[in-house]
Amino acid sequence: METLKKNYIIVIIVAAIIVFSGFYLYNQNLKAQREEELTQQEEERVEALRQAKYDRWEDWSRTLYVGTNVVDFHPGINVGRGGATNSISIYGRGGKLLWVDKDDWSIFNPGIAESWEWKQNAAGEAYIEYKIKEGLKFPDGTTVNAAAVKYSWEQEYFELPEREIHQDTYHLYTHEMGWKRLEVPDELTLWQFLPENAQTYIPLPFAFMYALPHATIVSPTSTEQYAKESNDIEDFLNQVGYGPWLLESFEMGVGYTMIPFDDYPVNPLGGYAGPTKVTKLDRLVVKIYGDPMSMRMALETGEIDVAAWKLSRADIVDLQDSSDITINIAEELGWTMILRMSYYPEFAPLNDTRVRRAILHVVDPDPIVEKVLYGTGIVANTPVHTFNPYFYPEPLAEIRALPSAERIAIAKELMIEAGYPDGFTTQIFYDGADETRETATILQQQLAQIGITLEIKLVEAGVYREMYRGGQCPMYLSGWSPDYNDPDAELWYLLRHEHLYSDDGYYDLEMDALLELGKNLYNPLGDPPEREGVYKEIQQKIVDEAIDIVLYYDSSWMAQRNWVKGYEPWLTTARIYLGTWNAYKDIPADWETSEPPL
Amino acid sequence: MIIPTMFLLLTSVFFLMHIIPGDPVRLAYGDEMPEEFIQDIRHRMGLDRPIHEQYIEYMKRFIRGDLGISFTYKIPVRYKMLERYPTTLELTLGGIILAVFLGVPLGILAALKKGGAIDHIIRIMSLYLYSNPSFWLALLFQLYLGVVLGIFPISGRFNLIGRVPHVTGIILFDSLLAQDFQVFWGNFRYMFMPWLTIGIVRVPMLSRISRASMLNVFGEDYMTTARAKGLREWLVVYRHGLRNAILPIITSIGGSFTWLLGGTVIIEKIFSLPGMGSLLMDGLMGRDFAMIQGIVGIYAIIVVLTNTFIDVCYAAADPRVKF
Repeated sequence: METLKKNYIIVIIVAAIIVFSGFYLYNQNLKAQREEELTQQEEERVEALRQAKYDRWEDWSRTLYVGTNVVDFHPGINVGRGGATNSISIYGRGGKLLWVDKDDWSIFNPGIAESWEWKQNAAGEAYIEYKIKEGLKFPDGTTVNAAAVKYSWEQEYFELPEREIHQDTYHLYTHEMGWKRLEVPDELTLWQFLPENAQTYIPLPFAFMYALPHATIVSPTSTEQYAKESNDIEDFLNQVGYGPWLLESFEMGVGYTMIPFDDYPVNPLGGYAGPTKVTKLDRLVVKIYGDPMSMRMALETGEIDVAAWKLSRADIVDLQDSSDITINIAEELGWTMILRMSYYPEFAPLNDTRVRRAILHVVDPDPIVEKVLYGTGIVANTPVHTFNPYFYPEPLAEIRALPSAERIAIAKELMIEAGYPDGFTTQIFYDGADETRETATILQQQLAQIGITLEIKLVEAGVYREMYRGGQCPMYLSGWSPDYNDPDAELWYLLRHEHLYSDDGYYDLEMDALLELGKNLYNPLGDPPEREGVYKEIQQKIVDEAIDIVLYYDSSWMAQRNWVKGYEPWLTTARIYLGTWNAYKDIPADWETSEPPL
Repeated sequence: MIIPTMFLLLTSVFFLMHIIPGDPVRLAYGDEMPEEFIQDIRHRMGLDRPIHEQYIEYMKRFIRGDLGISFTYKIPVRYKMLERYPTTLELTLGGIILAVFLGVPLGILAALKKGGAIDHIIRIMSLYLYSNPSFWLALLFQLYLGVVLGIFPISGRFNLIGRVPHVTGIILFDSLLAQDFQVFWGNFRYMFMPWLTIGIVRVPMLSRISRASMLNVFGEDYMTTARAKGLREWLVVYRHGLRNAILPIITSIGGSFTWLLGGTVIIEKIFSLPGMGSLLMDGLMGRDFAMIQGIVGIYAIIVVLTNTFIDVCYAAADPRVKF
């Protein structure tokens, strides 16, 4: 009995051990399984987070963020509003027959046209014959042909001025200067008959058509349907041109987004000869910044990749030392700044050539370039830019090369000769721009050396415009930028007596005749040697008579983060930030340990 | 009162705009346009008519609700205002709410701790904030909250990628209606710094008025009675004190609202918000008569309506006030 009891106890103990061991092992197994599951879940979670981060980086790398301070825009491609012109069509939503090369004004590359030739018909009319590339289609599926080009240009010229919405008058001017008639002899041939004043002078029409943001080519079908005066502004989103980008969305005053036009062809000459298919970006986001400082901060935080137009000069100089940002300064592509002095008798003695020459001798642009422009400009000795033919700075450069004391002495003698040994008082007007005021202050100091008291007068912008247009300013600063690479671009509009932009009373028939001669001597096959002589004579006359005192060539610029590749300033257009189709960004090597800027 | 006020305002603005030198058509179309084209536009817009005829025509149209066509934008003025007003409204409402939620409690606290360290600190901070120009604060916030800390976007109204619901134009409200919380949160992040800027500028005034108003009621018998009845202090302060001190605070809020609605040009510029302030500025620079007259007219109506609403709030807050 005792033994049986003992055996039962042993069995129970063993059974208990076995059961508990079993439970223990089962538990351990469960634990191990759970741990394995948790580890796997954790790995999956980590992997999912990693993938999400990579996706965010990839979205960021496939989107280019551009900042601009062109506040007002319209989604229409060629409605004639400044914002639309400057923003949307320039970024490549509208097409052109040709595209001016990125670096050389004199080179025009095929766009929609594959060839062009200057010809004359039997009646002696000069025209340019374009051959349109075959097989091109607008994003709406309609054909890109000569009729579409004719429609587009005629619409800009004839219809737009009648539209209430039209604002950008340069559209009108472009076509007035560019052609007098268009003909379509066959589907892929366009004849652009040149205006009477440009029978042989093709830089002007060419530049207006291809270096400026005008004469964009749009789909007639989409324009008729979506882009008429009666359409709501949202409808204009659907108007299409022939460019590498399509407008995806817009928000008034905030910005807009563009997506690639998938069927746009790859440019056989490459993306720096003109637009090409966008392959490395999925979206272009253009954000509006009303304040340049905000745009700078956005660039520094990476909120935008490119500050296209336009950071302040001081910021540009400051950012040049940044290791994260590249500043592209396009020299001479900004305004040529000129000091203008009135010829009207009520502002005597400014109308006396001796007095004007005296002022010319004492004016020294070097401190202006250094202090006002922070060194971002170049001293100019002629209105003609260095990259233009017949650039002739010597007459003024020789004067400015004289020692300061000598120039002042010459100026004083001239003042005595003119009957103003003690100087006189005059005024310079400006509209509030800080740089203009600072320039005027430097001029004030320089003129004081010969006894001229220069009063600096601030007037409101609208009033200022009335004054300089109405010949009411004794002195003022005026800017001009060339539209094409020919000296005529800079001299015609400054010196012809029918000043379009300002009235200083200058009227010289001899100068008019020289300008006409210079224009007429242009030959698309090569200028005759006498043309150089004409433009040298004009530039000499400017200095001898002190018609205008040129100060400096300003620059244009854009800034971009170093992670943007392929995007280079287009140095031969009115807007150097053309060429977004070339831009791309790589995902950084340290993507796993950082977040995209946005 | 409304009608004579509006009449006087519109008349003075009309004649003032026509006296100021500067050709609006030339400003709108630029220097390149030939003079004959400019004259044609002037004729089409009626600007070559005698000024009294232009005035009568303008007043007739205004009464019909036609604010005219903007010279600058070439679209009806009311369209441009409808496009811009939601931004200003969103900016103003957010700023006011922030100002009230910061300013009024601070004022009450300062009153409760009158003469103490907290009271002095609040008053000094108020003076400091009041002394700082709003544009300076805006730049500071952009620099520290945007650039250094990277918490908020530098400027703008919302993220351009993705669809933004448009019902009222007030994105914060529209996104809630559409239950799109991503857009809501995005918009909130973009608008927070502008709200903070304009809100903080109004905090000093609201806190001072709240403090003064509360101090006035603290000495009243009913406050003593309420305490004697054993009510908790916060009930005494808010239910009895604030309720009776609220009228000047309401007036101040109403005044702030109309002041801000009139345009916060600099804030809009710095934060790239397309609002009424910048529209008015563009109109002034461009001599856009129709735009300026339209904005001033509508603003006058809003001021009147806001004052009426304040009167209603008085009646609601104080049963003794009959509306």
